[in-house]
Amino acid sequence: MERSGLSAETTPRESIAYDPSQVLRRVRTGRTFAERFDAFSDMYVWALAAVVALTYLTSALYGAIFVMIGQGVPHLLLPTAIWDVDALSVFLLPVMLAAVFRCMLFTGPLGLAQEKADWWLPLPIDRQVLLRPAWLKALGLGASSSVFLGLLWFLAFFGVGREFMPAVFGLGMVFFILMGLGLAATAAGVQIRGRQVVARRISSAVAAGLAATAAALAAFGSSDSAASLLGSAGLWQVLAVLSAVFCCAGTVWVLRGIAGTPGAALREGGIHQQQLAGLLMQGDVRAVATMKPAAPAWRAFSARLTGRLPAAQRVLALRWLRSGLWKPAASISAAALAAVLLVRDVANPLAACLLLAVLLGVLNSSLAEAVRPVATQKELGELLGRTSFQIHRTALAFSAVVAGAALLLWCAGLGMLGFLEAAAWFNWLLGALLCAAALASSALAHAQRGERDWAQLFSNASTEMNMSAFLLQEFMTLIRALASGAVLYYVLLAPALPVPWGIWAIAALCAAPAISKFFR
Amino acid sequence: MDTGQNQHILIQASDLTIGYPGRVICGPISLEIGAGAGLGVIGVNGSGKSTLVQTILGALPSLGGTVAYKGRELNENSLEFRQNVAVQASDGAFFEELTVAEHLEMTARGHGLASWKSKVGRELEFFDLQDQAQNLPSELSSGQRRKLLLAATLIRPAQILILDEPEQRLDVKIRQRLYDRLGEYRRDSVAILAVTHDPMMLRSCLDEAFLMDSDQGQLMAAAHGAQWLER
Repeated sequence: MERSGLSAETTPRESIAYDPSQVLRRVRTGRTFAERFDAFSDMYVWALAAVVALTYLTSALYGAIFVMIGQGVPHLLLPTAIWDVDALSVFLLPVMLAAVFRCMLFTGPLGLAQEKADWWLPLPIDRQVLLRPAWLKALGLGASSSVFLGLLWFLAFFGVGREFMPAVFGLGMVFFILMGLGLAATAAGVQIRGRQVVARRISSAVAAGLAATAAALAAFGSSDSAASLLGSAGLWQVLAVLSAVFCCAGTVWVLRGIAGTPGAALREGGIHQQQLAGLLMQGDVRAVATMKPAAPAWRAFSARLTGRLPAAQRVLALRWLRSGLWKPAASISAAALAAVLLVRDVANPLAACLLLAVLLGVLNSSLAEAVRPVATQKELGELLGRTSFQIHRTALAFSAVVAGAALLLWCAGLGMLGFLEAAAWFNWLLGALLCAAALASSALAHAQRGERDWAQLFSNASTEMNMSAFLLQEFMTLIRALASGAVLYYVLLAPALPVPWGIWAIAALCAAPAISKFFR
Repeated sequence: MDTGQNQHILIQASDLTIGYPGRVICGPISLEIGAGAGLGVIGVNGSGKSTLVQTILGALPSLGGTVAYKGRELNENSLEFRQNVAVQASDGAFFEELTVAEHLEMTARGHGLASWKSKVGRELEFFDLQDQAQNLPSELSSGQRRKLLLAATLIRPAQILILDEPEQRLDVKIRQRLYDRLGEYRRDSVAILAVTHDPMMLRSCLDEAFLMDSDQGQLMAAAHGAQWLER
């Protein structure tokens, strides 16, 4: 066997002029016609699915915006409501850009897929071969996410009763593209220099500062003038120029240091990009809800808090508390109550229904993630000395208690604001309990569904009806979760009226699988 | 602690503290690995063996101390490091659409090996992978995937080999063949740093063991390390 040792004297001083992706290209070009056609049709189906999904998502969000501002629905006049939707749009603009920046930081934005990191990073080749595509991908990701949010923002901006202004829209979109590129470049610069933690802190501080500024503007009655400024083409022209400067500066900053991007950073970026793609494809929080080790004090506190629970319930409660899975539901509840309290137009029953639907969706996903190990790994149940049926019942009970507590808190908050009729307490109490049972059932079903091979699902769907059936099946757990709040939606929309039996029937049907398991 | 010839130190860790933010695993550790040295890192599960290697490689940040490669601060991005330090991952990801031979081709050509075809053939033969040369990774057993990772580590030129439990999932015959080959590497002045749980590896191809059983660890002869593993 030839030895592979290489003395320092024979070590070449130049990097190897080799592009490892050429092997992949060779394999792809060497395919037969049928294989190529398959690859093309896969790509075509994916592209089509992405366009359709984006269209539906945009329509849904556009609809949501109109529901939020409750067109034609009587609003509550809360004394705390100091903002109107225009003020909110001023506030949302920088918040959205901060969100793009955080997304860029999460995804790297420079990243290499795991197999590329494992096989290509150790090669003594010119790093530009690897970094150039990663850089272009980062820019594409930044620009596209910023443009998507920009489109939504303009939909809301023009949708609240303004006349459409093509010049403002055009310049605005230029601004969003350039800002997306600039934010991607800035995040890449931060990544290259390993300063993500500091950047996260700064962006949080900036977001908090903006919130305070917007609140101050609203308190002094200047938010209307700030919002009307956003309707001027001149302002957008200035913003576009500033964003171009920002974009150029960010690009120069990146290009100065890109060659020294640490391999570990590229690897981590690649993992996060894959997780984000999984989240978008599967609509599943499993990818981004990676368990971070809880702080020792929190671990000790949660251990004390759950000390008296039975073993199986305790395992689930500790998972729920320590992994931070409780945070999304708590954040949504807090943000929704804050929006209802502070923004005039949002204090309406339609918006409350929408926010409730969002809460149900989030609770469904996070409870599913909490019970997933015991729902899918039979051996865990065996370790706890329980059969599959018993462990599923434990998971259901845990989810129902958590969901019930969250919904009762939500109802109490809305009740205090005057959305719920105190006299009809029986309706919303029973509605919340039924909803909690139904959510427990849908969360368990959501946790038990397997990984989807979407390519196969799409390629098997020969007709639109067929495709719809697949999608319906895929989203059935989510639909069940949203439908489980039927009674609560009704009491929010018509607090003084008795709930019709049909609405009770829907809620009872959703809750039936869980209830039947409890009493079996 | 000096492991290997003083005159040609490849890796030098000085007062290295390893662990994760808020959790020190061990340290300060000082180690030197010279050309042709063979050092095994041993210890119980969770003692920080792989963390030590990852920290030495720069994949994990150290909590204190420094690591130098050929007298300069270690930089895993540097061309010299990539040319001379071969690292075998304990588990790796694979390209779904590339065969076993194509994976090795990519590594060999990426290191500028002129006669890469014959080298790929030899590695396939050495690891008994000839019959799987045209297989995709999804068609391999876990042991065969392991062999592919090792073949990719050994096909390339190197001055130092860093291996993380290379014995895992290998049958005894291949294991012994691998250790013999590593012994030949050392005679050729290639240094070896290996995390291992296998006494046979310590006896066959390494001459010292670094036992991670205390904050600073302890350096001992490979034979003693093997005895410790057998206890």
